[in-house]
Amino acid sequence: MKKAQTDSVVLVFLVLAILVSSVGLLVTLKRPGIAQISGEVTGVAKVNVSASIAISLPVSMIDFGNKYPGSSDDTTDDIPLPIKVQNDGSVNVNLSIARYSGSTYLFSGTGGGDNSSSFQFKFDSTSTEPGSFNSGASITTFTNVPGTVGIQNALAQLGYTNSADEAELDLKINIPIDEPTGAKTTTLELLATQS
Amino acid sequence: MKRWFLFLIFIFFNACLVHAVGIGPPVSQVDFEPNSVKELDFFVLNTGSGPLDVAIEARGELASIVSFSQNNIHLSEGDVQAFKVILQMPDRIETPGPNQIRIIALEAPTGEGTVGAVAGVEARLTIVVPYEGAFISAELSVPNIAAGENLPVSLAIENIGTADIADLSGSFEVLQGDGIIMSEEFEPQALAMQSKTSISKELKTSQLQAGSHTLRATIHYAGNTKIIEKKFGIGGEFIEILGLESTKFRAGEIAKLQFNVISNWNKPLEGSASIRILKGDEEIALIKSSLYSFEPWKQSTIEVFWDASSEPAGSYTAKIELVYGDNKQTAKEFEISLAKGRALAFVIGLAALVVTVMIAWWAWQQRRKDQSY
Repeated sequence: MKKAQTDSVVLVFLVLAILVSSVGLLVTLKRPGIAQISGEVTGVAKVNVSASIAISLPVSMIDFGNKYPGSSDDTTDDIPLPIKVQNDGSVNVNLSIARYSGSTYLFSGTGGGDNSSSFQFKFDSTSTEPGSFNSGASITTFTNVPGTVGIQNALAQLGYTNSADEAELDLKINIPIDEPTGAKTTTLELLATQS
Repeated sequence: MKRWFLFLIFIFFNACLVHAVGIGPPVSQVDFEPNSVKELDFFVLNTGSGPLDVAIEARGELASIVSFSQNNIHLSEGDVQAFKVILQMPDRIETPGPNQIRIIALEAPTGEGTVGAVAGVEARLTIVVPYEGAFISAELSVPNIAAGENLPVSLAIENIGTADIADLSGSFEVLQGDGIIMSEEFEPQALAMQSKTSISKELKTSQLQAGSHTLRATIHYAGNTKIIEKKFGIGGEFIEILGLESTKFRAGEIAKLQFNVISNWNKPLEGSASIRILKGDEEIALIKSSLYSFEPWKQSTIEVFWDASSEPAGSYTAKIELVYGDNKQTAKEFEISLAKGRALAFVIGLAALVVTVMIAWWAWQQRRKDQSY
């Protein structure tokens, strides 16, 4: 009987201890200035983040497959997928387009060469991030791909916020009727500058 | 077979790599000092997946005076590497003012396909060449203000020439239309070569009306005159109703009325609109908009819906009353019209169809009767 009474008293004290401890913990955690109670100190961290221009090409290659002289194809139907450009930097950018100096022009038949209708480009919005660039100031209708001198500001004011920082580069080929057979390749240079 | 397999794996991995290149700082500027050597810090970064080889080059008329601590940089994924742009300044640069050099980081081309693309980034480095003799650049700053407030104007002047200026003087003038409303001179001062000064004034605007004005700064120096102009607005606590986006709606439907307003106040204002629809003199509907916040000097569009489902086609008047700020009001009326609705067109079309079917049925019955005789 005495042992049972002692156990009950211990149990009551145990419950009280848990209760007081829990309430104390809650009050302490809710109290503003907890950092001072726990002995933490506050400080000011200062950092300068340098601006940068950065772009990536999530899609950087297009393969039009086998084509016949006189035929044409483009990427507006997403077959093949257009080149995709994304602004990864911390400023809005303009893009110039040119034939990369280390590559030759795509077609050499009649009507081929640089700045010809045999190879054209235009910029377009992506379906996932429309409104990423200033379409009014960009080239959005098929235009001849220039030579190595390039076209400045072909894409204007491509934003850098993640929700609106990408654009598509659509390409169109019109194969000259007398184009010699064989694999045709060229490389475009997409150069970003701060807008 | 094995070679083909390896080739396919190579193509697959190349396709998976996202090529990405960055450069910084995007813009930088140095003053021209004949025959000096300047070293500037730049960096390139790889923001893509996989390693990246970057070629650094300079383009532009002054590219020949540029060299780099490294011309080719290999970056692993996420890597940032610093490099130096070294400028060997010549005796003289012919063109005074800003001369731009393009510092370009271009990724090395990789992969297969009909058309490949390489990403490149370009930083603009400007060499500022002083103008011969006395020459200044100036920038004028003026804010939009509310009626009754003083106009704080600021004129930043830099001597970008090769000579000191002993006698720089001038004035601020406020123009309204072609006329000068007010003028205030600033104190003459000297401005040494390659140095800057800033002249600030608070102009009293009590004689100016609300609306758009032009501030003109006239600067006289070393026998030359430079004039800069900038527009500013004096606002009243007034929101102007500009117009309805559309005045034609369809009867029997819910009409969306959108009208544009512009705030001529230099602080945010809150307000709402009531639109009374009148048929002749009789008010047939009262629509209230939700609460709108009007940003200073900005245009906004207010949108309300009018249930015109039971209204006949015809002309109506929309009387817009805008209440904002401290119970200020603006009102304007517009003529609007309801065209015959789609429901009526549908009923007429259906009736026409029924009549056509009935005539066809009657004609067929007549023909059967004729055949049976």
